[in-house]
Amino acid sequence: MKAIHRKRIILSLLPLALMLLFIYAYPLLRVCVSAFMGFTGSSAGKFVGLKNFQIIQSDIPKTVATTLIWTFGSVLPAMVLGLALAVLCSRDFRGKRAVVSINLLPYAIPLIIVASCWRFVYNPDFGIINIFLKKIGVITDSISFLGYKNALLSVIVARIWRATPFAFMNYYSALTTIPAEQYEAACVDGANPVQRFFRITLPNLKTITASTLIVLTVWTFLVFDIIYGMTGGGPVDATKTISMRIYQEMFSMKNLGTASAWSLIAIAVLVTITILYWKFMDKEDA
Amino acid sequence: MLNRESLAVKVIRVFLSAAFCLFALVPIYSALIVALTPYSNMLEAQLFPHYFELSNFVSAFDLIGDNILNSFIYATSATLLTTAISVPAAYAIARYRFKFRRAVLFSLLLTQMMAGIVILPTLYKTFNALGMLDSPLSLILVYSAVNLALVVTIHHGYFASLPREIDEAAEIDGCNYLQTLWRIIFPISGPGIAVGAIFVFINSYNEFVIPLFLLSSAKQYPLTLTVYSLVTDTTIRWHIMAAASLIGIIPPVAIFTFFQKYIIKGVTSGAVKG
Repeated sequence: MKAIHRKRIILSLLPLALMLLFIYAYPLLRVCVSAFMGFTGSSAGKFVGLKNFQIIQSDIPKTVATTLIWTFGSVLPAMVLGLALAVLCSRDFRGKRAVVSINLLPYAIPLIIVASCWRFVYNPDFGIINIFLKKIGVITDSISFLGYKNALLSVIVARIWRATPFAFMNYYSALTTIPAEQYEAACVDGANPVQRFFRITLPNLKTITASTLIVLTVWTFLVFDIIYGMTGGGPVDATKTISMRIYQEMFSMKNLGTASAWSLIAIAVLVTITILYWKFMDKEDA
Repeated sequence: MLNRESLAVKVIRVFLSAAFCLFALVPIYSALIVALTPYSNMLEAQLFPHYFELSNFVSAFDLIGDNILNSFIYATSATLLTTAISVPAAYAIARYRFKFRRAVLFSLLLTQMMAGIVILPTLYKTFNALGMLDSPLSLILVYSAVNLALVVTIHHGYFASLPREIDEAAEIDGCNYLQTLWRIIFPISGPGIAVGAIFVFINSYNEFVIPLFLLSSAKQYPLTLTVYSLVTDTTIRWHIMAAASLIGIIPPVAIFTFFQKYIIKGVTSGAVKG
């Protein structure tokens, strides 16, 4: 490669590289170091081995379980709903544009406002679900949606609400790329709509399903705003996912060591999924 | 027979469409009811709005007007900075095959997968040591960094679709590299650059975790932090919180609805996270 090209490439990428090094690489490096350093009491500033992990050890099983339920409990339903909506909108009908626009709305709303809106919906006094259920006589006392028993499910529903439009957009575009001839051929062969869906539509959506699943999983895994805004991780530990733990260790416990230990666990999971995704995309491109 | 089937399909379609729209609108509708209710009547059960207390919106706007302005300033600055950094980088990635190209692409994907929360504690410490906390400038820097991967991917896709002959012709006409980029490529890349800009703007406007870590003075809060701070008041003023939420979502919702087609294209190019 000519020297002038090399110079151009380096200069073009330099600002990007500096930004990523300063905002991502260095903090990540510090996480890796801090996870094994002490920050409180006599161990402050010293290498403490696995002590930070021993401190958080007893919380790990419950937190990881909560995080997994939160992630897959919202990603899978969001994908099913997104697919259903995309199939619904794959044909033209009157009012389709309005249906599409309304269902994309949640995607534009800041996550923290998603949280506040769902707090209105769930409120025991003036929340619309409780009022509705009382009116039709299903319940007499308000359900405590954000109480210990229901909180995790309730925040998951809010996440499903926000993630469905993303799955919908992906499926909606993918459906338009399926060749019409495949459906025509199936019709000639006498396939009914259900058979057409399972034999033609679904197989054609394999790639988009995989990439949507991976992206939504990674991105939901550490969502902070929705949970923080609705329950703050509580009541007690009902909705305490890894991202809640990181925040709590950092600002309530003032312990960068244990916060970094939690971060490191999350990073390990994220990097693994990213590598899988990278390999998957490579295979699809080839 | 055929007609009967299509009627059944039609009924199902109308029913499902209505159910989906209801689900999508319920939280916003709930916020609207709360926002229209006077504080003293808050605990009343309303399936449909009984009050039209529009003054709640006026009080809410008085409270958050400055913060919306802050959000606009942060989001616009981040959009400009991100675009300025991304255009040359994406152009180099699209036009040249160099040694570390795949490493650059992988790093970008990695940053896109990395949620802010995992790096914010140590970033907070670093900014603290450098005296960069509670500064709009730091905030804009981080907003820009977290959006770079997305924008570079969008720009890269767009530049790769432009015929190479364009820059070759420019170079023969005596344009140097920067001139080619600025005078030839930039002007014809409007759509690609616009899509990237829309995403950075909405993402930055909607950002909450980053300012939560990096800002401390309420005067500099973006809208999202102020809306949240209403939750932590000792007595929650639900009506103000609801009105503020509804006012706050107007800009991103308007932009999103207006540019819907571009946004769907951006999302489905595989560049955007959910």
